[in-house]
Amino acid sequence: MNIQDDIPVGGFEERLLAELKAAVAIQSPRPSPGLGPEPAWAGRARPRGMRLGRRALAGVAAAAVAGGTLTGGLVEHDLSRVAAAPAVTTAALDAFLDKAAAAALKSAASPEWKYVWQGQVERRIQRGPGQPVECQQGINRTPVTGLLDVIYSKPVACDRVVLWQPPTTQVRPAAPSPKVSAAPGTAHRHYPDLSLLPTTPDALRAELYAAADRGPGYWEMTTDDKDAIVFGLITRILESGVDGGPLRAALYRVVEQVPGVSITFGAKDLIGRTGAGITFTEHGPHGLSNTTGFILSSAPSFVVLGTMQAGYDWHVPGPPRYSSFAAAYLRMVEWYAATQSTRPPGH
Amino acid sequence: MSTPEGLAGIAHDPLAFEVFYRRHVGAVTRFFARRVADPHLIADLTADAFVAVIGSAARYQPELGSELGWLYGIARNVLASQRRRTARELRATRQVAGHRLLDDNDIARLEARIDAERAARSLHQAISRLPDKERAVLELVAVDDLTVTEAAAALGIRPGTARVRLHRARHKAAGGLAERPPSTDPPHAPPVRVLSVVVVEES
Repeated sequence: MNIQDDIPVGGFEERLLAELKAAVAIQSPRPSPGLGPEPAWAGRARPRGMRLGRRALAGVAAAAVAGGTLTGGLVEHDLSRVAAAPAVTTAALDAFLDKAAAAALKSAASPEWKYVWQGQVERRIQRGPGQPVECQQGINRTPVTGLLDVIYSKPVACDRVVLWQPPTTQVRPAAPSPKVSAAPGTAHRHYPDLSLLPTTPDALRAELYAAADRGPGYWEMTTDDKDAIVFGLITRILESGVDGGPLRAALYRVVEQVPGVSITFGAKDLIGRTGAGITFTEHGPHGLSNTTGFILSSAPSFVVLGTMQAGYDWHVPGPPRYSSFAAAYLRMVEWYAATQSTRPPGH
Repeated sequence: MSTPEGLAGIAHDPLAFEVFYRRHVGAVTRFFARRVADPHLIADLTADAFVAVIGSAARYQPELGSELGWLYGIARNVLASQRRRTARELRATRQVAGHRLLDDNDIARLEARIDAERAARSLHQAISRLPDKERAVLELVAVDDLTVTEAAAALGIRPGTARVRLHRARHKAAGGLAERPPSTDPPHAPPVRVLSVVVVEES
């Protein structure tokens, strides 16, 4: 993918871009990504009376300053930074998910269009000997409905992740993918038809644990832990665009029953929105750990803002090391930074 | 690389706007660096120009000219507006204060850019005595390297009219307008050594 701009990292052009993009977003006829269904007139001409106003722009500057994590279109993450609030109790997790499930039941049962930000590491650069390795990661806004084939590129090791927008918007078809491959870079196996899943918590839980019996090879996971596999499946289903209805409510109820799941309030996505991060961490060799999860927006919508995956390279020969998972949904890279706080010396 | 429906999308789609912005922001800052020598003012004008882009994107018609020509037309209007209004008026009406976003590195980089565009700025000043309409065409062609067609689009005139005005301007300025030397704009990013490129799958 060619880079078609010459904006220096951290230059005022990036900060200006952040302000201007916020202005565009304010007058956008579309909702923010992941925050709800498209309005009925989406895709048609912009309604009259939505011209850019001074009030919109005035709010933009304040929002850009308050956001803090944005430096224009680039978002920089120092992976050594500790950036998360501590996880809280299981009771808090249950209470939050109860509310989320209740909200889901009230929402539309049919899958809605949603936008997912998908990121891929495009190149690694080092600005001189001894300097940190920087991963530049592009992100695409991908409209999806129904099932989403998640592409996981190769994990790469880096000290810093810089995100930026590629010059094209990639539209991926929403289609189930029966093809699987153990290699990163291909679609992951998924439930082919979400409508066949039970929507009562007990039945869904039984179904998911039965599915976990198929093993990590079938689901292309890297763990033998059944709870981890079930949580991973739930995350995959949620990221597929299940925006409403009984299935989403049931999924939240099942999450409550998976041992080892924790909640972190105040988790941030890459554009500064906060929500509740629901994660499952599996501890691996050499003191390393893998963490997967998803982030839910606050009440009243409890929308899935994105998912994350962070951990170490398990398929790279040699001692395990942490890496950036190229297609982890980038809203969650803030989490990824947080998980690095557990990185042992020398890794 | 404009979309078939033109640029209307950039007024309400942040991603589309970003694509457009990244493609052209360097050209816009250079456009202003060829005309003014103050980094803060260049930042303000750049912000003003893209604010104007958002407001008028729906009116862009690809069949009438390139994006760059259209953008330069907006940039010219922004600069003209800047020169017509007092600082107080500008403070009251400016929607995004670009200069507020500058840090020391930006100022140093813009100063280097201003320095690199010194020859173009001299040329711009040299033709300032020409009649406005003729100067406008010559300015866009000689100073900004637009084609006559692009300059015509930027000015909202027919290409034939632009050619006539260009001919007259050149005739009047004969002898005083040597060809502009190529830009010596230095690379603004430190050297980057690419260690590896990760294959990105396209769907």
